Parts: sequence; C-alpha cells; structure tokens
Amino acid sequence: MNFDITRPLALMSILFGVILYLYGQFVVMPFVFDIPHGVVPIKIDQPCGLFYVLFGIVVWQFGRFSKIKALDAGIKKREKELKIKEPAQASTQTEANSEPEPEPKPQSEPEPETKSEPETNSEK
Amino acid sequence: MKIELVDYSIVLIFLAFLFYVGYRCKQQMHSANDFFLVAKKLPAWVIAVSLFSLGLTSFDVIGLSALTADHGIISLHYFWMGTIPALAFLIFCVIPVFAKSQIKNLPDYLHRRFDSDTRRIGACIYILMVCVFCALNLFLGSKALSFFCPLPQGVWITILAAIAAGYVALGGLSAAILNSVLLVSVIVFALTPLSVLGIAHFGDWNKMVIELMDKSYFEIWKPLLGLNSLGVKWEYIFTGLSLSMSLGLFALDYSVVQRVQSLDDANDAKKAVITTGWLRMLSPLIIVFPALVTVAAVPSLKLFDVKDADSGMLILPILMGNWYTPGMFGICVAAFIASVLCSLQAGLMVFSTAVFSDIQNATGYANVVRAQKLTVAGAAIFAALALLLNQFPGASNYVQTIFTFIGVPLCAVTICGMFISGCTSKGAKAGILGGVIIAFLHYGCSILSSISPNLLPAGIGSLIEPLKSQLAYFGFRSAFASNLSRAFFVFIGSIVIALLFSGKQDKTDSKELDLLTFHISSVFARENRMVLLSTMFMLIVLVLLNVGLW
Repeated sequence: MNFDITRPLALMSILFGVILYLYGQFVVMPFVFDIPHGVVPIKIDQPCGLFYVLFGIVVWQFGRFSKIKALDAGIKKREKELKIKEPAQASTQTEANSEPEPEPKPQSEPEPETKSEPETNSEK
Repeated sequence: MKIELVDYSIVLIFLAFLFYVGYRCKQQMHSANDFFLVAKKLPAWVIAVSLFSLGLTSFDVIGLSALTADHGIISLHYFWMGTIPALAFLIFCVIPVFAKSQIKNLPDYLHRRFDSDTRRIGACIYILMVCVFCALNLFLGSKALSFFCPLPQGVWITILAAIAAGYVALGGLSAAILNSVLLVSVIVFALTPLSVLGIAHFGDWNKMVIELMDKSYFEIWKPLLGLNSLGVKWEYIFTGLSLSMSLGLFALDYSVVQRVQSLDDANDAKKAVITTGWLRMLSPLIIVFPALVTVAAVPSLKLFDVKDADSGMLILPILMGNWYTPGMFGICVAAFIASVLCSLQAGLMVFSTAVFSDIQNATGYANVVRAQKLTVAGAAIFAALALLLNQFPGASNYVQTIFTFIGVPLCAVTICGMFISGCTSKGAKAGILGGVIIAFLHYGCSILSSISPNLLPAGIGSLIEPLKSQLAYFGFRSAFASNLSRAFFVFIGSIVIALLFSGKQDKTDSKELDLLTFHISSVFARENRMVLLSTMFMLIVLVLLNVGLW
C-alpha cells in the first residue's frame, strides 16, 4: 500500500483548524465561562482551531520525516548490498597490483564494475 | 444550541476525506483478496490506532459516559480490567500461535484446529454478534446525533449505514483501517477540550468531589466490596469481565485479529497492541472525566430543556451544548458520526469476510463486486436491526446478554483448542452447545429468582417455592451483574464440556497440532524480551492505577 494516511490527516486538521479559527475570530461571540474565582470570556473555536492547525503541521512533518526515513532506509539497504562488493573490490585492486592473476568475481552478484576494474589496474 | 452552515461544512469535509481514502484504496484493489486483506506495508502505528478505534465506538463514548454519570468511576473497569489483561493475552498467546501457523482470522483457526463445521458455526456466531453490536452502536449514535441535528433517529440510522457502506465497499479492509486514523483524530478533537474546560471550570479535583457530594463516585474497588447500585461484586470483575468477557471482546474478537494479522511481522503486531493498551488506558481522560464534569457542573449551568436527558445517554452532548459554540458543534457531530463508523466499518468487514470466505467458501480474483455487494447488504441488515431497536429501545439492554449466550462459549472453545491439544472437533461443538445451554439455565434461574411464586401459575409456583432460597444466588441487582456472573459460568462450563466430550484426538498430524497450540516457551523467547518488559510495565501501571483509585 503506497498510500500515506498522514497527508489526508494533516490536510483535514489544517482545514478544520483554519475554519474554526477564522469563524471564531470573525463570527462567534465570546462565551462567558465560569472559573473558580470569577468568569472569563472565551471563544472556544479559536484555541481549538490553533491547536488543530499545529497538529496538522506536526502530522505533515511526521509524514515527510517517515517518507525521508523510508527513502534513507532504501538507500542504506542498497549501499549495504554494494558494500558486500567493496572489500572484494579493494582486495581485487591490491592483488591486481601485486599479482598479475585476475581476481575471481564474487559469485552472488556479478556486476560489470568488478569485471572491468582489475583490467584497468593491470593496464596502469 | 443551533447548528449553522459552518458546522455542516465541517461534517461534509470530514465525509469527503473518508470517501477520498476509500477511493484511493479502491485504485490499488485488483481482486477480492485485496478487498479482505491489506497490502503488507501498513505501518504498525496505523494498526495500533485502528485497534484503539475499536474501543471508541458509540457504546464506549455514549454508553460508558452514561454508566459513569449513573454509577461513578466504577466504569473504569471497562477500560482497564476489561481490556488490558485481554490485550496481554493477545500479545503472548494469540499472536504467536496465529503467526507461526500463518492464520488470518478466527474461523480459519477453527477450521484448521477443529473442522469446517466448527468454522461455519464460528462464522455464524460472529455474524450474529456483529449484527447486534453494530445495530446497538447505530442506535446510540443516532440518538446523540438527533440531539445536535433535528432529524428523526431513523433518518440518521439510514445516513450512517449508507456512509459506512459507501467507503468500506470502495476500499475494503485497507479503507477501514486507514480511515480509523481520521475517525480517532476527530473523536479526540471533539472530546479533549471538554476535559480541559472541566479542569479550568473546577480548578482542582477536590472541588469537583465536593460538588458531587458522593465520595463513592470516585472509588473503583471499595463500592464493589459492599453493596453498590449495580450489584456487582469484586470477584465478578476478575472472573466475569477480565477472564470471560474481555477475552471474547478484545483478544479473540474477529476484527482485532483481522487487523493484527494484517501486519507481516509478529513483533510489529505485538508493539501495535502494546501501543493500543496505553491509548486505551488513557482514554477515560476523554470519556469518563467529561462525564463526571457534566454531572458536577451541569446543575450550576443553565441547562436547556432536553427531553431525553434522564436516560443518561446524552451526557456528553449536554456538556458540549453548554460549553461549545458553532464551529465546534460541527466537530462534535463529526465525532459522533465517527464513533458510529468505528464500529460499523469493523462490523461490515467482519460480516463480508465471514459470509464470503467462511460460509460461501468463495475465493478467486473476479469477486470484488460480490464482496462489495455483501458489504452493502451487511449495512442494510445493521440499519434494519437498528430501526427495530429504535422501535423497542428496551431491547438495547439485551445486547451484552446475547454476547454471554453465544460469544463466550465460542471464545472458551477457541481458548480450549489453543491451550489443550486433547480438545477435538466433537468436543468443540459440544462445548459451544453446552455453553449456550448453561447460559439459558443461568438466565432462567435469574428470572425465576426475581419473580414472586404467587405471580406464577399454581403448579409452577408450588414447584419454585422450595427452590427460592437456592435461587437467591441468581438474584442480581442489575443486568450488568447478571451478565458478568453468567459469562464466567458459561466460560468454565464450555471448557469442561469441550474436554469431557473430546474423545480420541482426530488430528493425526502432530506437527500441525503443534503449530496450532500455545507453547509457554514463546513467551520467554529471546526476541520477545522487550515486548515482555513493556507488557509487564503496562500491567504494573494498571495495578498502580487501580490501587490509587481504590
């Protein structure tokens, strides 16, 4: 499933937040709310709207972060696959410098680079 | 309270997002298998939230807030003792067995552990239970929504069933799981400000206790040691709620297992369940606390006239009506719609999966339309039952009773099969039937104990008269207490009968039997250490919370 739910969640929260904040700012009258030592006028839509917008932004960033993390993990995985060949490559280079014999290719994943490099080294 | 254009637009935006997710899931659906199973790349946190959504249904939000308003924080047992031990059971017993045997749902387990007949019986029981529970949730949700929007309850029931059928038929299980995230967020958005305003209104906890003038309202165990309004004794919580009912409602619930098994890795599944446990433990903050605030605060507020207020079902809508303004009303309507959808989408998936793969035994790739038709049919059945409940509101009290009659025996037999390798298919069927008979006997005894022999026909009355003292045990103060007691009797009875009737093991393949039974070594496996520690920590917090609110 390639679909990322954080995008719709973030968009919905931001949309709700903006609507609530603007509606609280321009349309709703303050509501008199009892607190222990008196009353306070509050517009509940405004703080809730702000909170939703913040939540939406956090979720959006979280979605981006997870996407970057997933891409990073993919890159690292690929690097790991290539690193299997790096020591082999390195040993190929040193051995090619000292001995004229070509290094045997890694059997698991043969790639063109490993084939060509001993030749270039020996040419040098 | 007046719903304005802005509220309707918020609700419409919310519904548009639900259908958008359904549509996106449909684009990736190519076969009936895609409809009933999710692709393997859903993150564990999405599964955790979707499991949590199963505990934010109308029954939990409306029903348990009503219970809190009537009887105090004794309702916390539902959130804590009624869930957390069951989730621990799910982590240590159910997930390892299902993971190693590659089982996707409960009837599938019954099929492999016992036989195809047991699978069909199990599927029928799940379908029946899901119909009843979804009808109750539709009924409760429509009641709350009628409070905000002046539409008849019947119209709300139809609208809600149509919405759920719409996006679930589009996107299948993937849409149901992904949309849970949106549903949960809206419910939390709507309820959290109530708790914050409640704290601001009273200033401190003690002031709220003084306002309520009843200390037992804030105790969860002390009232159970003596007489209490529910008639529930402390042992019923352990035996009836934690052991018998919660295992069926959470650990061996069709939709819970379906969602948990949609994760590829068993360790991820366990982590998701632990996250759900923590969320469930915190959920009273947005359900129980606002209900207490309402009871304490509403007499001092100018409460507008509500005809149904005495029923207790509208305890949260009343507080919302007093403290919220237009704009937030839209979020509240969306939240109550979401609470109904939480149960409906899970119910529809259970209904369609059970009918499609367990009863009709259908498979194949060209059956998406058939699966969609089944989903719509399920929604129609739920709506029809809810409309029936609307005509006879008293019937809603019997929903839990029905679960003790059929759900508990099935759960007991499944557990028996999971733990005792000697349990056979013959024993399983006998266990289910025996459990139902025990439930009927228990129910009959509790009715007879409450009826005066003088009211019965002369012959029956004289027969009952000498038994009256023996039947006194079954005289329960409330249906809740009676259900808890019955659940335990049925649970133990089903297991005993299943073992008694299990003859020679009919499964010859010992390897298969080994895969399908629980082994204690899986709990203490090296890779399980972190999960074990996290669950132990969760259980310790549970104990501390119970001691703190003793």
